[in-house]
Amino acid sequence: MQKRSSLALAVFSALYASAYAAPVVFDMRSAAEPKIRQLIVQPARFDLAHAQSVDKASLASFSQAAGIELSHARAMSGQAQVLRLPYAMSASEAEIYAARLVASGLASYAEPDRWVRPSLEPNDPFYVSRQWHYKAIKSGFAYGDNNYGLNLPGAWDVTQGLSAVTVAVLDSGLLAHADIDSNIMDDSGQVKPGYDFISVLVTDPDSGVVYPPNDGDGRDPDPTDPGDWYAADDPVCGGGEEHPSTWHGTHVTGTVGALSNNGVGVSGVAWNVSLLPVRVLGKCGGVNSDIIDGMRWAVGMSVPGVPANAHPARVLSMSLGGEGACDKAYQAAISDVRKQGAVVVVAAGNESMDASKASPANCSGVISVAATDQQGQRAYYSNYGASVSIAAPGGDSLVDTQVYSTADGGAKAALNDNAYESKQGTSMATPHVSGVIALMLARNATLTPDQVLQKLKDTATAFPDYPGTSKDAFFKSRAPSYCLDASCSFDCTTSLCGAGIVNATAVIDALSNSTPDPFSFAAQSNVALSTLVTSNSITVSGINVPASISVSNGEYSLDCAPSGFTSSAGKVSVGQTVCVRHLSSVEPETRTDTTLTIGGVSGVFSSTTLPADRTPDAFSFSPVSDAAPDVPVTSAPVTIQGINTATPISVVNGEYSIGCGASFTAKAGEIRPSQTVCLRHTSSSASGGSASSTLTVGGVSASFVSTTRVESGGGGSMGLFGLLALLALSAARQRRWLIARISMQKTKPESAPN
Amino acid sequence: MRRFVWLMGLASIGGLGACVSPSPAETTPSTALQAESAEKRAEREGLLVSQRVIIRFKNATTEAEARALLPELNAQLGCDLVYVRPMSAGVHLLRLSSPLDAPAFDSVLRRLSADPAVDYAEPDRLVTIHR
Repeated sequence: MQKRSSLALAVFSALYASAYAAPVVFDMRSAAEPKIRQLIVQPARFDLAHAQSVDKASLASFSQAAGIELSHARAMSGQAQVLRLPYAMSASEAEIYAARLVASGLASYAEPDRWVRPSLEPNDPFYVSRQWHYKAIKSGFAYGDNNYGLNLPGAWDVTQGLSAVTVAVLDSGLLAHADIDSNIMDDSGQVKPGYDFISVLVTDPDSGVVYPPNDGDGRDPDPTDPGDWYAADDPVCGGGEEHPSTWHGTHVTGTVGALSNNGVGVSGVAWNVSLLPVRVLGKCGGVNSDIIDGMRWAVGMSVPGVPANAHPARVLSMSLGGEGACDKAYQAAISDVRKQGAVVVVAAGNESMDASKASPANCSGVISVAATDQQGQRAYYSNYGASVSIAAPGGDSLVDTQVYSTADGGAKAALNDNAYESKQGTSMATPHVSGVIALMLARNATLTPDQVLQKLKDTATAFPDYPGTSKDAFFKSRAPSYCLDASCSFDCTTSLCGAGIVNATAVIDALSNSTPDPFSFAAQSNVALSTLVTSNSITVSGINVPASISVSNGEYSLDCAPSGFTSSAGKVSVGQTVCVRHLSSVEPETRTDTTLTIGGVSGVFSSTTLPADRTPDAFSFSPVSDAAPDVPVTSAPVTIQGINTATPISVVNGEYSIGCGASFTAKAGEIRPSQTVCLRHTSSSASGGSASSTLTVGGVSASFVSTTRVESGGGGSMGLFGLLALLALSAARQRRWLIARISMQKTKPESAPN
Repeated sequence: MRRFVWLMGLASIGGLGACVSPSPAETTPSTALQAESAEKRAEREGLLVSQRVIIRFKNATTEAEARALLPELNAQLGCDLVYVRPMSAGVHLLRLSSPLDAPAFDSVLRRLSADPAVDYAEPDRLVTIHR
């Protein structure tokens, strides 16, 4: 790549060197991102901006301005042209040519035609062809040209669910299906062992059919759907119209979590979560008493006569309901399961009426779901009003497409033919929301039901507004009975269809958490002075995206690598260990604090140095003999060792100098570790007499004694003595310097990693 | 889309009022329907659903405690409430053994709810999938 680019550059340079600005020479080695091949350019000239092609003369002027040969690729929307670059280049190189075009005044704007990383689009054939309801949002176009999908691909980039998150589907039961789980009775696979909660209300004495179970008995551990067909003259619910089996539970369960990206059939919303079939609806429906028990069982609460559920659900998906008030028993069950942390998602209902009249949509604490069509409008059947929390795709067969999912071809009993089917309803919208919530919980298991709803609302796709749409016209002319009122508007508003249409990518992005759990370091004590002290390791938890990491007054190391300590800010991921270190204080009993901050959460590592030691090692002064009478006599320097902090120093009968410089004092003071000290006093005036000074450092004393020479007379010898004294003084001074230099070296702090 | 109609409140069975007298044992048991017209049976089946009561007593969460309350409750109401089964969370499912029309059944529920021993008493409503 590099070679070819260089060659292209060279050829181009040869051709255009005289007339064009110099091409930019780039080192292509580090370019890991996809190469840029085109620029998007809006010509400043109106005619060029709107032209279908760009003439040669204009192209030449563009090329000259950019300093690189540009060719015309195509005209695009927004009065822009796509201009091709002569070779694939890095984005930063392309940006330079683009900037030259703008600077020249020829272009209003010019930008590299960047690569957009494709999000995860599952390879299931029906996802590609029929599941508009999962796909990215395409909005801002005329009615009919938009796609108000759940916007899942961006969310799937982040998570496809976790098996630890269980979604209970309270419905008509489930069929084993090759695109969900071929064995719904065992613990393996997507589907966990559910339960059939339908108890017998009545038995038809003629047919022996038990209503509503329709599987021959009451409650049992088999949630398999036996079918819910009924004849036109069914003794219980036949109303003159025949109804084939709906396989309703299999359809909604497939929406929550059909096997996906497996090259087969349909996709589901959250295909790595666990599914729990809780059968509560049978032939002719089901009753509150079975649903209420099923709800509590689904979250792990006890139900008399039913074995415990080993897979408590965090989401209850309930595409069911009826007209009526929210009964206290029902509300109590909702409150109970919420206390277990479970989110209750219910259908708003399909009567095109105010959902406040539909239970359980009108219960408090539920997420009630209205259905929208492909254009983001209210489906003709969907209930609406203040009881609706949020909307999701449910399809609208009268104007566009429905929701595609797993089914069965059997009109009565199942054929187990692994079929698929289009259905529409708030029943279909509901499992979309349940699946997204499962993705959310896979991302952050600590979300409460209220937090889940708030996040969904905060990130929802706004409803579009189509003034005088063809949908409204369609209903006004052909289906006026479905109109809300005289205006016959199917525009959703936040007062009709909840906060918006669930936006899976936006809500999963909003759950990115870079604030870790609190962490702390163990304080260390009695550490040596001026040494590197390393903390225990902490493990970063509670984040799901890389978090910033910085340190003050010290260094940190990711994974506690001994060679990795740095004081520069960086990034840290969940599960990584971190250690910090610092140089301990030069002072005893002194604390040094290093603050590590990860994603705004700080922890302090403290070390405290050893206790103070103010008792020096023994020291002594060499006596001086043959001193001149009555002159100042200075001792050789002595280095004070064995203390670790400033220590009292005092002298009796003389003066001392710390550092042995010019200034001597008789006043008590302090001396620091490894400093040198000299004593000075006036020699005795008596021949052979002695003088003595005593230095005391931290309770340890030593004396310096000088003896005045014995006077023997004779001026000649005086001259000789004077010369000797001069020589001795010179030697002593040299020795003092030597000691001072050694001492300085010793006082340098030792640096050794701990 | 179409919701089937549960035949609640259509029947004209029992113009008795709400359990004015204790129901005798000769009323038809729910699970042993006699041969009758489909229409008649549908009415009866529909009513049977509405004859079930989800009830929570203030101080009777176990089945034994609830069963012990029933004779006195039945005597007060002049009804024949039969224990069906315990539900989750200390709630109980009862059934009126003799069919009542909807207004009469509502009256029974109201009187049960007014009983100081009762937390709430509600019909075991029928629910359907949202077609």
